[in-house]
Amino acid sequence: MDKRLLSGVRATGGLHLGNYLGAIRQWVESQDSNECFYFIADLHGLTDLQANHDASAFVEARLRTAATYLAAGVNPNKATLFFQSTIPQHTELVWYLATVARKGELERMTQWKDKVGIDSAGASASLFMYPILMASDILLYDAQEVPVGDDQRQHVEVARDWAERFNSYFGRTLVVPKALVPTAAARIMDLQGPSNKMSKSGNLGQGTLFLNDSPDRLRSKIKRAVTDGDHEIRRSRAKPGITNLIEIYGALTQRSGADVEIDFRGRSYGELKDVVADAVIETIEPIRSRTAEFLADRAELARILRAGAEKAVDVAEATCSRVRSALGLTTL
Amino acid sequence: MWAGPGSIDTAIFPERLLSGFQPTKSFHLGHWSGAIQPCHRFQNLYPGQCYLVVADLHAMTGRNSGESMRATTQAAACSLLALGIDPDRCVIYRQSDAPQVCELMWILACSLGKGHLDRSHAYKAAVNRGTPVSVGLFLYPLLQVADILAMRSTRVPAGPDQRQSVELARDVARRVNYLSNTLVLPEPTLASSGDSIALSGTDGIHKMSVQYDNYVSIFEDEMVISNQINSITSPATPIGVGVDPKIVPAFRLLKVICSDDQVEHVRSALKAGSLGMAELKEVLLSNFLNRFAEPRERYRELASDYNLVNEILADGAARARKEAVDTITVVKEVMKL
Repeated sequence: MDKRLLSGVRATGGLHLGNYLGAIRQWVESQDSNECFYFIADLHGLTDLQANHDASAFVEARLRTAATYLAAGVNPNKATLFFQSTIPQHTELVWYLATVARKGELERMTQWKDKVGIDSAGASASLFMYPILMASDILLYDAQEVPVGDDQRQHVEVARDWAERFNSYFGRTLVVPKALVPTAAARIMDLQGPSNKMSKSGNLGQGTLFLNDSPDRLRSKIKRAVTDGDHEIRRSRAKPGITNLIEIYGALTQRSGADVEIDFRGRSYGELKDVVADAVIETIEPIRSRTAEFLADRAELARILRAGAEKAVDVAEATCSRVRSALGLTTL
Repeated sequence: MWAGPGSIDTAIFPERLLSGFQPTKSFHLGHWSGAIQPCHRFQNLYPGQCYLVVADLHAMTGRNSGESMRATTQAAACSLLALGIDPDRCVIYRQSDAPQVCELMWILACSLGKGHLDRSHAYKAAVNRGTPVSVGLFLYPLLQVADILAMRSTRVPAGPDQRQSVELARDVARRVNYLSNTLVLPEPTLASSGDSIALSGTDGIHKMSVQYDNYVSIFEDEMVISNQINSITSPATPIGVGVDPKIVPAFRLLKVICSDDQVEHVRSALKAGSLGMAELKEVLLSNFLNRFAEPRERYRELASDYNLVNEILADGAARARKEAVDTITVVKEVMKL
């Protein structure tokens, strides 16, 4: 176990191939050589919900997310998997960090600016505080490395700033983490609109390969993927649909796009789609059926998450208690 | 199951008071009249339902060293006890001992627009002073709301600057209750209008407060207190000429500590011009030291008896934490967390 690694996923439901290739697979790979803390970010999920909180859908999305990660190969004997909301120290550290964070720093966060546009008053206070919760998630587990997508890099940077500021005010207390941007993560695009990233809500789901789609459905979505008018299987800015299929196939078979191009030289788009569909189904179908098994045994699922929470809370409490004593929140 | 505006369903929520105190060694006459005396009345009326929180989490928004935080928190607890807060009838606790308020704060923040906090008086004042605003200062009122709701308080003594937080707490409680369609949280009200009138300080202008350095402290050395009383502003009046007691700041402070008879006596002397300002301050000083002789003695004992104070705080922590855990459990249940 050389390093402590931390990663979280929002419990919004609708996990798809992009999530699998972008994050889930990394989680599975990292757990062998690192001490991994993986959590379902259900407190983050709340920021979307507010007054229209659909409680039962929320519960379902949360459980399905956990089950999917386990099904995809996250091994509870190797990694610690838990729900964020079961560890109250996450929000406790939020307050401590809030007293060293400056309001302007939150206002400058790109994601905040993107999400609220000009109507910042209409957005919830928790959405505004979101980067602090994220920093707390990271710092609570003394993580040295945080694997993040490029769009999340800013969040790790502010977490570093706040940790360093806290340490300079109160003495060395928090571990300052490093962002780990995975090399050449595949960019999986929407099958119907290949200039956009694959997402849970794009094109009514027609361009999205969900991890709980049936094989027939997956095949039909891939068959109907938009392509172009010429017949060459090669990557090009002018051929986003074909490029995407090549990237998907390459990512699934762990081969480079150039190799895939050579394999498919002279073959038809139909053949390419068949082969991609086979590879996608080969990856997703076992995840889908194991997810269903985990969801069918809720008691076992709950036991795994409880065991994870017990391990996580020990680490979180150790950090919090160090922070409290640095702050003087202890008796004389 | 709805509690109408201002009404509390006492069958579900007993009357409960929550009063917050900054960790400080400088408890002063303003604390006494604005917060301690209401607690005295409440602990007699509703024994066991008077909650006093030493707000160390809030105090973090001013930058303190760990050492000073520990010392001032302890001093505040000693001050409360010395001033007659009875740990058998009140719950005295450190805010950080019930960290569930942070959890509640997050959940409440999810159903509250950021704009509510942008409008907070304390935040706007800080912006106007030009001080860089920490997120903690921005969230200050929301943490107050979480304190109030976590303890399921029905009454909150609040000066003009905290009224807004009580209003916000009512608003937020209504939102949570709306979500569940059952009464989950009480809507707190101001304790009573009389208690919320802030005592003005030695400058005769601002509310008495450590922040304005215009206070008369209760537990500091006699010399310090004497200087503080001597610094009280006085109207310029020729010797021997009567003055309207209402415009004499020292008289307003005297009213807080003296019996009605004494107050009447001084009032007529001031009107008649037979009591000069210097003499008035002497009267105030001797009455002050007399009034607080016993608490001062008791404070000295408590300050050296860590164990006793720690025991009381540990007991308060357990009781406050239980309330907070109960509240957060219900709220999380509503949110299906």
